[in-house]
Amino acid sequence: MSAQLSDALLSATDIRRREGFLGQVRRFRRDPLGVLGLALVTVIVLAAVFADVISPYAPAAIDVKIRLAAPSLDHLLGTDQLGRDVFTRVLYGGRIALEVASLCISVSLGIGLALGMLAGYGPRWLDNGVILVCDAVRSFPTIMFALAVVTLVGPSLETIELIIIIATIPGYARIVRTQTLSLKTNEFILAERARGAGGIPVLAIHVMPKVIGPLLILGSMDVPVVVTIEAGLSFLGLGVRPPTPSWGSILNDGYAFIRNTPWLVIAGGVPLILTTLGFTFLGEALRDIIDPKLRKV
Amino acid sequence: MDVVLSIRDLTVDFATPRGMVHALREVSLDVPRNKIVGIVGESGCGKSTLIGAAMGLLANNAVVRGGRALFEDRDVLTMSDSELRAIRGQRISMVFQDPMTSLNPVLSIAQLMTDIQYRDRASSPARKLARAVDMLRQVGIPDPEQRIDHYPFQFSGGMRQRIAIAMALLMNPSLLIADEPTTALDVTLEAQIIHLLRELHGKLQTTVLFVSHNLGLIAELCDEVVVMYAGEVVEHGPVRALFHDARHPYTRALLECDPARIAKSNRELPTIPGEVPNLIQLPAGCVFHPRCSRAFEPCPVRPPQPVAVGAGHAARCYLLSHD
Amino acid sequence: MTELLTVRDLVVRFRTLGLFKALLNRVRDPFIDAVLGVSFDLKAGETYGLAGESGSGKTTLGRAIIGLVNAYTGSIRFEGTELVGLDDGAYKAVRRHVSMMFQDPVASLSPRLTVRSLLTEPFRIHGLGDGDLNEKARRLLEMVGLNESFFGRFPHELSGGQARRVGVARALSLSPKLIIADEPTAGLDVSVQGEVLNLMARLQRELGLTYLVITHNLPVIRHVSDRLAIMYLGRFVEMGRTEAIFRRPLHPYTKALIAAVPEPDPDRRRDIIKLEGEIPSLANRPTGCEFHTRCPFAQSRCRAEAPAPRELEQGHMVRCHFPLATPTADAA
Repeated sequence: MSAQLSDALLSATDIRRREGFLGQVRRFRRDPLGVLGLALVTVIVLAAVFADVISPYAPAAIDVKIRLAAPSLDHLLGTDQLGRDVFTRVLYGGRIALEVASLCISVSLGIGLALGMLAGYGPRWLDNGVILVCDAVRSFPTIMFALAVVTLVGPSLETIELIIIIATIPGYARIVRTQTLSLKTNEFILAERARGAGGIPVLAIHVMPKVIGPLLILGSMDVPVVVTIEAGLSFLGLGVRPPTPSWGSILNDGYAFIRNTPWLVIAGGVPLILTTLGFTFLGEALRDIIDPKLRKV
Repeated sequence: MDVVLSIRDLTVDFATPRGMVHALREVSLDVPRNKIVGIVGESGCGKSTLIGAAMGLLANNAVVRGGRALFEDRDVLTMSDSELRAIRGQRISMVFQDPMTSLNPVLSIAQLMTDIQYRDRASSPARKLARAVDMLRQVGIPDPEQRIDHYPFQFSGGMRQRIAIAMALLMNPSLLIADEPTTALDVTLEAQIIHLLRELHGKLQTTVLFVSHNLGLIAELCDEVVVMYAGEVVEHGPVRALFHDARHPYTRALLECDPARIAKSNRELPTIPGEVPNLIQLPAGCVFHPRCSRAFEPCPVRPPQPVAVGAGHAARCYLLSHD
Repeated sequence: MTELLTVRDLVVRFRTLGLFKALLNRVRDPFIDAVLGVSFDLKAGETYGLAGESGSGKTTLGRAIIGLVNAYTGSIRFEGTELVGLDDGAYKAVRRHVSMMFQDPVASLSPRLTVRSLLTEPFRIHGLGDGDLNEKARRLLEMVGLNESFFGRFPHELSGGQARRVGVARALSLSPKLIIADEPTAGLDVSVQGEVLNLMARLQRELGLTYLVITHNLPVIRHVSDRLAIMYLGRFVEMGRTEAIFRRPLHPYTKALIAAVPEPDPDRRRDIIKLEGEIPSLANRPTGCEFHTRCPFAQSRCRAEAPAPRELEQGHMVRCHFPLATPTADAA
């Protein structure tokens, strides 16, 4: 209906396209959840990056005299069963979590983008092959898959990263493939082909700019998922090896000592919740601004 | 005269981030009962906004600056949502441009056509179905008794547009609005649909507001014509007067541009120089003067008022008042 | 005049079902022929029109010539080079000389590129990136009546007419000999339509271009083309000089198409519709003459026997058992 009525009025997407970057910033500022998300993400990222500046302690420094201490001015979140400063461990744990998330997501976005575009644009057999592999990988429950791999290879940070990358590629690849398929028959792609442009230039110059925006938003919304997987595996003792701090292992410690002190559970859990909320709010706000059509996905 | 739809001095703006889009300015037009009135204009002339106003379906960012849209003597613009819903589909109905997307693909034609009769609580479902079958027969669907159980995708484009017309006419509306109903169709199907509309108009005495950019169709179908340009009615009048004795320079230029009117094969086609004005920053004075070959002193100063040039025929142009 | 392009018995076949699905559903013949046995010549410097309704195969024919879809059988020769069966690399050389304009003026421009990149990119594709590309782009814009101030704009910031001009400029960029224009006036207002057609005519005079114009718009094709072919279900049903076809159409379909264009004159309203029904599906071609299902003059012979193309006048071909006029009858 609205399309029928929009010859004089600019359609909503038109306005969005025409308002430019400043307009998008203005619209973003009007979305309170988005602003909250951005604030949370900024705090979390800064805390992780400047962990060594913020905290005077080393994350693995043991001080048995003050084990399981309650929060104080010296130890903002108290200490754990080995007397390590929990606040410091939370900061460094955030570093690990964000490192894993940014590495995994950028690698799997890159691979997913390439695979998806090749599958969508390339010959039918390639498409069928990629889809078959993607569906096969996606049919494993992530945790079961992770347990199997860890049992085989042994727990380590690299193992976690590998698992996460493999588990998230199919999602990105499928989305990119669908978008590429629908772009493939668009006139501007036909026009480029008629002009003699080969497959790779068409993908790089014409297809990629159209698919990359939505993909980046999806990636940012996947950060909490990856952080949760890392924390979950570490909680189970299958992830980051002690003494390296991780929100998952802090939670696990808290779980073991919950009768002695609630602070460990809180210190491990709250950052996870805040990260999830922050990235989700931010991702949703960006999505609504950049590509409102994705809301339906 | 019994007027079904009467738009009076309607001015509508749209608030957009880039500024106010002045979509309609002091638009007045009448759709008399049992007549076919055509609105013709190029893209951006405001015809779609006008339809939106008549149906009470203006977008959220629309600002009605003034004027009224009277449907059977009641102002559509001040009606509540429930009043509007009672009118739409029952008293005013609409046929859209694209028959591929205007019918819900997951419902059968029988379901679609009985659903729109929901306000008629007195009739039994069988009676409603019979009415639908009868209407499908009138629009030329072969074996409607069987075909009514089919789904929209099982019909071709032309047949779907016939079904859309049947649905629009089912509740015997006072006004049928047809918004470029043949633009998506091939020329032989277009001829069939126009023929059908004319035949149904003769039989059912439906009042039709027909919107198109195609002058040939307007000439073929309409009794009266309204020419719009950049949100204004520049000329209106009976179809013969308008096609044989157009008075506004824009109408004349538009008629000259239509390749179907040029009898001699000619490589150099006539055009209207310049572009349609930006609706955010309209030119001062007459909206058409920057492209008008006959513009003179008063044109860029003040907008001209409509000048009557014949029975029911008026145009907004200074050339007419200076004669 | 010399022949620039020669098409002989061209067939473009599409698969409608995959191999497995066809076997599963026991479909013997999962193919449709979008273009079926088309032959014509294009002379250097002329404008050739391809007209027909949707589904007539006119767009597919244009795309087959530029190699966007593969020919199944037949021959397409461009300046003596056979194009059917060429691989992509070899086709690329042909595409310097043949360019195509697509239907939608805005959607056929890559949305994230500026006008400048849109205009310079064809040179890069063909490895002609040396020299001052900006200067080349500027000259192209001037040729189509635009100027440098459009360099930074994106396609959605252009009006339909401007976008079409940029499209023409792109088509011209590598100095082609042949331009295939698919619905060059689609989506344009009547007042702008004339401007684009006049521009194309001027460029043809100045640069000696050859056009293949694909359209459903008969009033337009009548004014711009020298010769014309009418397509129905993938075949040419009539072919000849445009002026002759409009003056005296021989095929009932051509006549009906011309008659279906409404005249912008309220005193000449039609009372009868020339053509009932719709185009049959390509998957279910009618027997005999494929037009007999809609033809008002169809006889039993039309249902049984397919008419062969006949040349009734010099250069005027028709595929019909009972053409509407014969030269002898006309002379008498």
